[in-house]
Amino acid sequence: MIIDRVEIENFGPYRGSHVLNLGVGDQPLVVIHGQNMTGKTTILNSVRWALYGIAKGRTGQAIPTRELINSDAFAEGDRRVAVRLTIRTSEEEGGSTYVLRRQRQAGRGTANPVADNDFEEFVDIEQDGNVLKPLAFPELVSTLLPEGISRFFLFDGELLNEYEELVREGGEREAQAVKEAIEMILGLPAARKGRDDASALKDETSRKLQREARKNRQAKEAGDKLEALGVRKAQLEGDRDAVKSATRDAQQKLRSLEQNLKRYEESREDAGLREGLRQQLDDLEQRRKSRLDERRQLVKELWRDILAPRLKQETARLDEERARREDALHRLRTAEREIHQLTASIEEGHCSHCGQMLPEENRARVRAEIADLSRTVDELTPQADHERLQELSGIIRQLRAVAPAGKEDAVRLVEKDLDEIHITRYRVEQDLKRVEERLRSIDTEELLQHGREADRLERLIGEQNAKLREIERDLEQVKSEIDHYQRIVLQNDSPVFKRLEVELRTLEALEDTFARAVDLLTDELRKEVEAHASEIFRKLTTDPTYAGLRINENYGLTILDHDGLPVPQRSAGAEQIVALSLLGAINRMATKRGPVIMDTPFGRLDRGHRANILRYVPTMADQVVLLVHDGEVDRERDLKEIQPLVDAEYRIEHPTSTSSELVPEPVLSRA
Amino acid sequence: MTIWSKQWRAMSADRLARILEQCRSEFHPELSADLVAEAASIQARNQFSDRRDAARREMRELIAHVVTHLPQGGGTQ
Repeated sequence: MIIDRVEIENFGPYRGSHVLNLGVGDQPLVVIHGQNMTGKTTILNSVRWALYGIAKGRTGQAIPTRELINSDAFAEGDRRVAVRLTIRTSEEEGGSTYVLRRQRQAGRGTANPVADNDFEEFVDIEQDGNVLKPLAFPELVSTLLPEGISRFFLFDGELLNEYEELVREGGEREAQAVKEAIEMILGLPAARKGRDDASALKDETSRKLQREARKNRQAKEAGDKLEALGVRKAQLEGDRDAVKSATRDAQQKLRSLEQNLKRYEESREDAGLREGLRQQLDDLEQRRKSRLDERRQLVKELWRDILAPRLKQETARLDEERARREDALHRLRTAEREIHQLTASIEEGHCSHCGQMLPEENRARVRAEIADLSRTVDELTPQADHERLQELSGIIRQLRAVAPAGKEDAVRLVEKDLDEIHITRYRVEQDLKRVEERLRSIDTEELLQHGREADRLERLIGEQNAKLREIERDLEQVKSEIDHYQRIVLQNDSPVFKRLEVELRTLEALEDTFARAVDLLTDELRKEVEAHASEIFRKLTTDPTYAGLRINENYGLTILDHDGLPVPQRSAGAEQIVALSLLGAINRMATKRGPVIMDTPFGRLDRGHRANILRYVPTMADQVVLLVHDGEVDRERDLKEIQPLVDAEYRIEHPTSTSSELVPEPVLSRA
Repeated sequence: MTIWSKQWRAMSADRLARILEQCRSEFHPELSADLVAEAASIQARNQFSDRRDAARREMRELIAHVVTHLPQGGGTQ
């Protein structure tokens, strides 16, 4: 199947009508060039919306109709959006041309349409020029490209992320939807549904047997038991289905919440960081207060340390004065004693020391000596103040009693810590300011609520799983009792009974055959996916040390080296190559007839990988549409080698911020 | 029949039939090979439909047919 033509009207940045001819010639590749934010993803979304009525935003959520309509058109009163697809199927697919058109417009009487139900939807279909009933639209779409597997044909960055979750160890739960889609495209539902259908028919036959059994007296009692057990079994199966469905819903909600939370991962980190910083500020404040208290206590005695040098100096000065005054006192007393002796010598006429007579001529010299000594006494008397000396001794004693407290170092440490607290607090406040700035645009309460809801759902899923195990156990018990009573019933030998018995055994065997086939088929398909993915991976990778891929039960792929050992670390680019290899393998095993539309597939890849993928993508399907920006694919350089495979090229012009145009480019190989 | 299931018939119904036949011959040789092949075909045709009425009706008819045409003396071969 080929998409021949896409006609879009007022869709996103495309105001008015725009036509994209995709199936021009016989070559598989169509390349659409456009810068970011100009409307590349819109092209992919327009196809998705035309087929399934849903356009996806960057993180996989549905874009509301109001936001799909070109804003300029809407402002001028043209409040509708439409896409028309022309699809051609090959001869072996029926050889028809289909036209599918979907349009949404503001409902009559809706002055300000906002919500999706403010818009009315119209769909039209034609097959080879004949108009079909609109009711046939969903059926036709599931005929052409069922939505469940559309992710293998219309893939964008979000899908690559889903695949990366799948190939990442531990990412299975996030990628559950992808795993289910893979199994769907690989054909596992055929075996599973076969098993379930055989089981349902077996139960039906069993009920018929019970009815038949009532006709036979011997088996009547067993039949009654079986009837009651049948009711119990139906109840348990109903409970099991209800629990499974509730678990599935919870898982789906959880997945969507986790996607939301992932989107806000950075904000969550910021929210956590903010909490941490606030806590740090509280701790710093506590520490500051405690240090201030400590300092207050220390300062009570600190004056002794502060005064210590002055006291020392003063004591030394007073010591010196005391020594000086003691010396003066000593000299004064000596002088007074000598005056006294000399005066006695003069008065008594002989020397008071040796007792010899003191001649007259010597007496004058003694008197002069006494006069000198008297002058010395006069000079020393003010110095040799005994009271002052006593006072000095008292002061010195008191000063010496004031010893330093030894708190100076402790205070210095406290001061240093207070400085550090001050600096740290400033830094933390600045960090907090930055984080709060980043968080201003985020509804953190909603974020926390999402987190709490995710926890609740996790718990609920756990409880439901426990309940499910209990129900399964009861069901097994009931089934074994049914087997027991059935054996009794089967002793009946009427022809109808015999026939039903054969039917029952046939269905039992058929159910078991399908059940075994599910396991075998899963195993075989997985090995085949691994082989194809490895082959494609070897073509795409530029790393010669990578030898292939190994698949796990969730279709996650591990890179292997030449010794068959897993490569533990891989780059984001390598993840993308692995994901593309898986996509390629699945497309190869499913069909080559669906069109593949890839949005910005080379974002994280270097030139070598880009060249390998560009060589590979035209072989993926009969029609491959690449939506690329100049940063990832250089028209002259990168497309040169695959030019013969390019059927058409377009460039998205973006004259204003709210409008884009699709301009055909001459294909280089034909230029 | 849908385009999708036509493609599927070509590439995966055969696979399902082959695996079912492998399981039949190994674990339930008493079952008819034709019955299993036809059941595979019914399931391949109806695998994308969540409404099982059509598939079960076909399966029921198939079983009834097989049981009716069994040789005297039982067995499902």
